[in-house]
Amino acid sequence: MCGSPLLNPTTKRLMTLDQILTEQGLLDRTVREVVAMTKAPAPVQANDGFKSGAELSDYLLQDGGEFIDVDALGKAAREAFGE
Amino acid sequence: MNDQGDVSFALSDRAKEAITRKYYLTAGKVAETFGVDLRAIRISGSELARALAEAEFDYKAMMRRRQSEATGLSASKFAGMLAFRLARFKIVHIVSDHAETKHCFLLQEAIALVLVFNMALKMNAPVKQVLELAYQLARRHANQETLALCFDAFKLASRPTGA
Repeated sequence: MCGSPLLNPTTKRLMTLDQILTEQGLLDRTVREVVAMTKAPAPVQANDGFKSGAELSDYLLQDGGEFIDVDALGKAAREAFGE
Repeated sequence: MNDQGDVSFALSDRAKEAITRKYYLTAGKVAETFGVDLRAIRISGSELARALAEAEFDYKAMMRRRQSEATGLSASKFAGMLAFRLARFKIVHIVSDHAETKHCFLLQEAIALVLVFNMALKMNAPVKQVLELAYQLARRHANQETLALCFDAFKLASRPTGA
């Protein structure tokens, strides 16, 4: 049994939660619905991106040059931690 | 396409060669600016290979899980996978105490981040934040998902207003 009796809003009778849920097959219906939902297709993530390994590889091979200032990174590290 | 006619998520050998070459070059530059003598560091080729293989595996797994051939995977997500694996595998070893500086413990993480910013993200970022990410990777908690979110945030912040 699930705890203290509750007032069933439909019948106005005091019932335990599992009695309310079981009444009229509510529990069975909910279980069926949840199981059915697990079989739905996974949501597709909205990313504008690479759709294959070949596409990603081509992108990686495009030489865009150096973006991070490595000298400034070293200076920042020295300032943060000391020599 | 693979034998089953599905889209292949494998990286090409040329891309792996390019990442490997860039790794060694980046390691040299970062070690120099960190004041670590190049003769005092060793790079494990086998660990680098394992890190690359694992990043490729992550990419394949995410593409299959998302069933996202239609929408694809962003550069930031792949950058997160690559940076995490390059930071976690035992690639860089410092073999002499005399070569150590107080910040040389960040060497491998800094190499990983510089490489992904240059190759995968192809964008600039403030060095203090890059250093902070390196510290997070080296000494705190970081995973590829949070790295990818950070990279997405850098991307958004670098866009012109209204873009």
